[in-house]
Amino acid sequence: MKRLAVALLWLSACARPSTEPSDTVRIASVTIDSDATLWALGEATRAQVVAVSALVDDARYSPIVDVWPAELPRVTGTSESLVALRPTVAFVAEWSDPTGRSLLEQAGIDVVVLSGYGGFDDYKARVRTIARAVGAAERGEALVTAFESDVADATSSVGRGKTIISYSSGNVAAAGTTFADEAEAAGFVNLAAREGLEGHVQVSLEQLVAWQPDVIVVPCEADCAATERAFATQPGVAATPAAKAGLIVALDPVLLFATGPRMVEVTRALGVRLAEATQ
Amino acid sequence: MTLEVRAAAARIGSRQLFEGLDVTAPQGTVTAVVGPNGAGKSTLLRGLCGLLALDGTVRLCEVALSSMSPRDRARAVAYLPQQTPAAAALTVRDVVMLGRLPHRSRLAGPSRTDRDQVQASLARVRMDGFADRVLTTLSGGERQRVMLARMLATEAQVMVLDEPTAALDVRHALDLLRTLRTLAAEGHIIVLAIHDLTLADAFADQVICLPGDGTTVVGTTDDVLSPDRLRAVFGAEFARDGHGTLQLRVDRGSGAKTDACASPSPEPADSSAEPSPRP
Amino acid sequence: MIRPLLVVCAVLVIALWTALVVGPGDVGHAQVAATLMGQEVPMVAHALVWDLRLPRSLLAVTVGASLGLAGAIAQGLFRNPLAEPGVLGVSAGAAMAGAVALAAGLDAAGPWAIAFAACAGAVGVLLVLMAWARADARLSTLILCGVALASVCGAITTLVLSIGIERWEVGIKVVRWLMGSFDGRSWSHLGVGATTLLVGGAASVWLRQDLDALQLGPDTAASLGADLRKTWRVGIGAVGVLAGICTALTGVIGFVGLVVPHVARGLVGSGHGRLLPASALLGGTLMLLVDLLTRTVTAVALPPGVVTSLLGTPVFLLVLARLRTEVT
Repeated sequence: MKRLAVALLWLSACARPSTEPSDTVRIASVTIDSDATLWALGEATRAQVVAVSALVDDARYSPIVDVWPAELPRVTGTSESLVALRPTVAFVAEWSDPTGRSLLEQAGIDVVVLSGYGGFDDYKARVRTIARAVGAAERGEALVTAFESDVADATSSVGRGKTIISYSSGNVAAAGTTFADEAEAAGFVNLAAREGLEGHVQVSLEQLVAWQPDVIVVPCEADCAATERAFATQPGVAATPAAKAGLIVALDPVLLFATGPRMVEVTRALGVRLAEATQ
Repeated sequence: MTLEVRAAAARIGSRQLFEGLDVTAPQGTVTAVVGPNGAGKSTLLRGLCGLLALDGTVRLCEVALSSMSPRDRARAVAYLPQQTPAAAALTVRDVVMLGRLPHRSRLAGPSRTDRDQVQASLARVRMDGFADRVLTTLSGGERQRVMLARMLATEAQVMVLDEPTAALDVRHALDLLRTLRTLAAEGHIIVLAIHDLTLADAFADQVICLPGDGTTVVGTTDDVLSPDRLRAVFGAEFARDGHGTLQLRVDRGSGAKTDACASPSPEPADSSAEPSPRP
Repeated sequence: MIRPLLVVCAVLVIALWTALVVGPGDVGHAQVAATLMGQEVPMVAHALVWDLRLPRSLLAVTVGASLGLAGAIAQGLFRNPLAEPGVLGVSAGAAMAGAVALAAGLDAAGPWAIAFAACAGAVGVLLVLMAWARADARLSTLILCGVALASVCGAITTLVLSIGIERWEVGIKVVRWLMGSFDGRSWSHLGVGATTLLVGGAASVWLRQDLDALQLGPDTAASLGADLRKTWRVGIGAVGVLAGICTALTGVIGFVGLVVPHVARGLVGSGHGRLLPASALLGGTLMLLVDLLTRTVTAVALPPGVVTSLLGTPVFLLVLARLRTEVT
């Protein structure tokens, strides 16, 4: 009898930690990136989320539209409405307002600033940071492992060393960007990186033409095929190898500017396009 | 050629400046317009130039000014306003050349005739040595002579001047008025507003007095510039000496009189000049 | 008086040649000459010289000339040495309309969509100004109307930006539009710009006498036979069209209309028969030099509006200082 009572006590003591997190951990996610990662971390983590970012349902920017329940409050920035939800941890972007951040910190919230959106490694680091902050380190590692095998699957040499450039109204992704990783995984040479540029830089159309890229990647407007045709008519572009080979590739902006697991899809899409064009 | 004004009237808002003005200015005459500040002298002069519409008629050689085109009117009547913008950075020659605008088509440049006329007009006022000087570097007297040259360059018969002597010292004022008298003798019709009543008396053939109460008085200098009338209109003591020359009597002792060159104090008859309307 | 203008012409020609030769891709003098003469050249060289550098440089000249001309007309019309197209609010209206169109995603409709929107904005502001001028022709209230319109348009543009902060891609596009650019401009842009300049040139031939007369004040001008109502309408229309279309073609580029007429006045005097074409010539040369500078300093593109502001501010202060000593 006494042993049963001790066993029951011991069991109830063990049971309590598994129910406590959902009472004591309240997560506020203010970036689309953390919205997506938290969702991917599974049921237990999802139950702890009290707010997601306002743009999570905007198809132009979010990879997980209409996934989070509609009743869950949407918040922007580091506002008082966020504090009112009494989160214990908040995930914010590095470009968020510092005063707003200190407001959250004064309210006793653990503010995790997500920075580093420069490619595959940065994504893995962010997943680990988020997972650790919400006590789901193991599931975070599982996500990272799944991502790594995805990347390995998509990695190929289909690009065959061709030069590639991502051009968005003059904004070019050089070394240390998600595009750099995506293109290299498909076997391409990132032209802007080869020319010594880093990060996102403004480059003139003339420079683009002078570099003679083999593949040009642009973000789609409403109609991807029309965007490609329109870009080919820009002055001087017709003289690039990309235009001559039909390798102006327009990708959905959500995909092209993705910083999460969908990055791998860009690698695959580039490979598919190259295969089509060389047939 | 005669300048005829019949039943001219003007009002500002609800205040009647003057009405029932009849005056005839034949060729070769100088007509002075006198009256207190705000009495409507400038309004009358602008009406004579066609810059604003007066009630009644203004006719030159039996032709109504209002029926003339702006260019024809500009060729018939030359106007010198009270103030010229001080920042005009034109040369003397440029200013006088502007007087030729009524004779030039819109698209044409200056012709030989224009240049000759400009030269002749400058010589007339003894300013031909100043042709390349910038207007802002000239003295007040020199500037007025240039403006006079500009009026001569228009070859207009009628010359209307609004207080041309206001900013001039005695020497230059006399010089200007003598020039105007000579021009009248050559066949021009001169109409000018003037504050200095003794000068008006000396140089004008006829006087229009606008007391500011809506009435008008027109006549010879003896008739209009009588000491009794001047006392009533300006509140100043004038007298005629043995030669019939008008003189201002200044009583320094009581301090009630004002200096002849300053603005006359408002006279009792000018009750309608009050800003607040009376029923 | 002619000699300094000849020097400016020489600078313009040299700058134009330099603009064709200089840039990425190592295109030499010989290849440029061959391209211009229609001879066989490598496709890249032809693309760089004929498709990119030549229309872009000529557009820079055209836009600079239009802005310089618009500034000279505005200064003559308002008799104010600080007047420029920006004062009328036309550039602000064009800029605002472009920003709103970008925020609404209209750039997806085609390359001319934003330019069209900007023109509509400029025309809208112009119509308001014309209506105002009809009701109350005094210049002072007209300037105030222009300043008020510029304020409102600026506020709306800021509103667009503040909404765009969340949508960073749109925000970038709007800011880039506001900063101005000659990049990627083609022969069709040049066609529109050149036509506008011709229209402006015709208006300036019509206006030059009246602008001269206006320098002695509106009363004197009217007494010399000028129809002031018509003068103001044509003048405001010309300034609006010139500034509005330039903003539509290349974004917001300031200071050119303010500074160029002053320098031109120093070279050829105040007579508008010489001042207006001189302002156009100087403005075009200046803009070309600015574009050349922004293109060649680094591989990373600089906005021309920034350069004109940086160069224009000290010149403007110099002019202001000289004005203070001149006007007693």
